[in-house]
Amino acid sequence: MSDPVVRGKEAAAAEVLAAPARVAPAASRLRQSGVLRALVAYGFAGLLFTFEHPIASAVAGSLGTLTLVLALVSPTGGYLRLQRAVEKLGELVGGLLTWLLLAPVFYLFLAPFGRLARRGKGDRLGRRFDRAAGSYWSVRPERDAESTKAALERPY
Amino acid sequence: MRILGISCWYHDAAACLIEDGRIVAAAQEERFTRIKHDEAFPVNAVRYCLAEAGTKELDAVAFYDKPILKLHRILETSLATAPRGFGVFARALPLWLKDKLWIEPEIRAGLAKLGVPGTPRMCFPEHHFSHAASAFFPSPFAEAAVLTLDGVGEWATASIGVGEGNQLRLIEEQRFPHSLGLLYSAFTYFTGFKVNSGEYKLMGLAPYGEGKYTKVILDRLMDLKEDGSFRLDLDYFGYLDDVVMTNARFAELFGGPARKAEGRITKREMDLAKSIQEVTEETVLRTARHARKITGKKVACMAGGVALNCVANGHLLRAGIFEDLWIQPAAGDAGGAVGAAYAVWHGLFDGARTADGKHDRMQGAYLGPEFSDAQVQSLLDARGWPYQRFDDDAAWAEHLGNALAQQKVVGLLQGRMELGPRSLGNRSILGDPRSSSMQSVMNLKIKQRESFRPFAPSVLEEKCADYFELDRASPYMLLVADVKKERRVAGSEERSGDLLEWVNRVRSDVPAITHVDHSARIQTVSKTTNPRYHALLSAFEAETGCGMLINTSFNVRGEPIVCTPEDAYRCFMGTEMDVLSLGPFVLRAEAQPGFADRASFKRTFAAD
Repeated sequence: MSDPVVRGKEAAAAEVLAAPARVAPAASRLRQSGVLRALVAYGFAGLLFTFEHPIASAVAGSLGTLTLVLALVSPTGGYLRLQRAVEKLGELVGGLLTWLLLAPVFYLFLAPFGRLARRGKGDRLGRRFDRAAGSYWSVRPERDAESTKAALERPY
Repeated sequence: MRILGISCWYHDAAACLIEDGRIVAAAQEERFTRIKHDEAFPVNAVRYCLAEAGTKELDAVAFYDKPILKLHRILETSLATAPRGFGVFARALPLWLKDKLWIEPEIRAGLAKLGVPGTPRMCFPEHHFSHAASAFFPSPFAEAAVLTLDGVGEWATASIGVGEGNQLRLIEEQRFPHSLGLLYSAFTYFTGFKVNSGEYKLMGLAPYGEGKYTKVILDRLMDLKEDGSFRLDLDYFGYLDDVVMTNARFAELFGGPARKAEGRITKREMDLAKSIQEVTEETVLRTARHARKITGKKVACMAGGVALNCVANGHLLRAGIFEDLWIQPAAGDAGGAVGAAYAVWHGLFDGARTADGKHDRMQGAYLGPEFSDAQVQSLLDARGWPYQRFDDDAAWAEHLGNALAQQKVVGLLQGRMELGPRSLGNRSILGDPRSSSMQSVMNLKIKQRESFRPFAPSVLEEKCADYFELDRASPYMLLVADVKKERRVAGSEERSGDLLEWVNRVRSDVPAITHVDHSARIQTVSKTTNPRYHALLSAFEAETGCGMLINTSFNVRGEPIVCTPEDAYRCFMGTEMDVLSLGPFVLRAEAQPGFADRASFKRTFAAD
C-alpha cells in the first residue's frame, strides 16, 4: 500500500476545488432563490385574494414583485441585501419568541430554585477569594485504565 | 485503524484524520467556507480528510469535548446567578436544545451525508484532555509535563498533566469561572478588539505600553497564588451573568469605558495591553514552576489558546524552568480535533507511540490540501491569467528571491496548507525585512490592517543564531526572542508619543520584523521540513546577504488564510501585492487582466 499521505493527494485537492461551500453565493443561485421566493409570495397573494383579503394580497404580491425584480436585475446587490434584511427580521422574531418562552422558565423555576440551592450550598462556583488558601488547584480523581476508556465513550 | 477527530460548534471548527497514529490530514473549516473562525460542523474539512485518506471507512470518531458537562456548567452558572443572567441563559439554551445536545446524532448524520459507512465508535474526550493530548502525543518527548491553558472547556480552564509513553493523565485543574484565557479576553474586549480573534492584536500592542496597571490587576482583579492558581473577582466581569466580558466597575477601575471597536488607540490601551501581558506571563511562569514540581518532568508540552501567546512562551523558555518546551502549533480549539483523535488512538485503542526527543509528528503543520501543478495550470489556462512557469526549483527560487530583493511583495501558495493560525511558508505573503517602510506598506496596502501590528520573520534555521537571541528551532512561529544586540540601532528603544513615528522608526538592520521592544516572533525554516521555502530563503540570502524574510499569513484583515489557488489569486488581485507564486507558476500583478472584483473583495470580509 502506498503512503497514506500521498495516495489521495490529488483526489483530495480535486474534492476541495469541487466543493460548493463558498461565502459569496453565485448570482445564478441567488436568481433561482429569488424567483422561488417570488412564486411563493404570489401563491400566498392568490390565497389571500381568494379568501377576500385584497389589501394583504396586494402587499404580498408587491413584495413578490420586488423580490423578483431585484433577483433578476441585481442578484448580488439589491436582492442579497433584501435577503439579509429578511433573515435579520426572522432572527429578531425568533429571538423575541425565545425570550417569551424562556422567561417564565428562568424566573419562575430557575431563579427560586437557584436561591434555595445557594442557601444550602453557598457559593457554588467558588467565586470569593480565599486569602488563607495555599492553592486554588483542584486535584483530579485518579482513574484506572478501564474507567478511563469507559469515560472516553461518554458524552458526560 | 482510522480515527476522525472533530472540533466544532464553538469556534474554529476543524477535522483531523489519523491512521495508525499518523496524521493523514487536518484542516480548519474556515479555510473552505471562507468564513473566519467558522464554527459549523466541518463538513468540508471532513470531506477533505476522507479524500486524503482515500477511504471513508472509520473505526472511531472523536469529538473534542463532553457536551453534557458543558451544559451542566451553563445550568449551574445560571442557578448560581439567577435572577441575574437571563440574557446569557436565553442565548445559550436555544443553541443547546437545537444543536449541541444532539451532537452524536448530528455528527452521525453529517458523516452519513458524506458517505461514511457503518457506525464508527463515538468518543468524547474532555476539552482539556483533548488539548493535553494535542500537546503531548504529537510532541517529540517520551515523557513530559503537560500544561493546558484556555478560556473554558467543560469546567476546567487550565490543567496540569503528565505524559509518559502512550499514557496521559491530568493531575490538577483550575475551574470556571476563574480563567486566564477569559481574563485575557476581557482585556481584549475592553481595549476594543474582538474576543477569540483580537487577542493577537492585544499581544502585539503590549510592547508600546507600560505596565502601569499590572499591580491593579493583581491586587484588585485576582488573587494569584504562588503556584499559579488564582481566583478572579467576578464583581468586575460580565461574562458570568451578562453577554459582555467586563462591566461598569471594571471601566471605573481603568479610568473610563471600553474603547469602541475601530476607535483611536490611546496610551491607556497600550498600558492595559502591557499590564495584562505581564500578568499573563507571571501566571504562566508560576504555573510552570508548579507543574515542574508536581510532575518532576524536565520538559513540557503546551496547548490551549493561551499557549498561542508566544511572548509568554518565550519568557517561559528563557526562565529555564523546563529544559525544553513543545507547543502544539494549532494550540487553539482547531487543534482539539488533533488531540481528540490522538486521545482515542492511545487511550481507547492502546496505540503504540514512539518519540525520539527531536522530531514531532506534526509534519511541520503542513497537513491540509495541496494542489498539483496540473490543477493549477488548468485553472490559470481556463481563466486566461498570464504566468511564467519555472520547472527548475533553483530558477524559481532565484527569480522570487530577486523580486523580493527589489522590494516586491510576493504571495506564495505551495504544498500542503498549514493547520493552525500561522502561515509557515505554504500560504504566506513575503517581503524584505531590511526595508524600513515594508511594515507600514504591508500593513496598510496589503493586509489592510492596523499599522501598529508587527510582522514576523522566517529565518533559515542554521542562521537563526546570527539574528536572534534564540538557541533552538522555532518551526511553528510560537516563540518570541530578541533581535541580537549588535544588530540593533543605538537609542532606538526610546519611546515616542506619536505611534506612527514610533512604529516606523528603524530599530535594527532588519527593521520590518523588529518590534518596538526589539523582539520578533520567529519561524525557523529547515531544509528537511520545507525544502522549497528553505531554497527561497537561501536564494534571497544569496542575493542580499540576509537569510530571512517577512512572513505573514496569506489573507487580508477578516479573511481566513487562503486555501485554493483561486482564493490566492483573488487576494493577490484584491490587494497591492506585486507577485504571486502558485507552486512553480509565477504571476506578475501588472500583467494580469483588470480585476473587476477588487472593491467587492474588500467588502467580502468583515473586519476582525
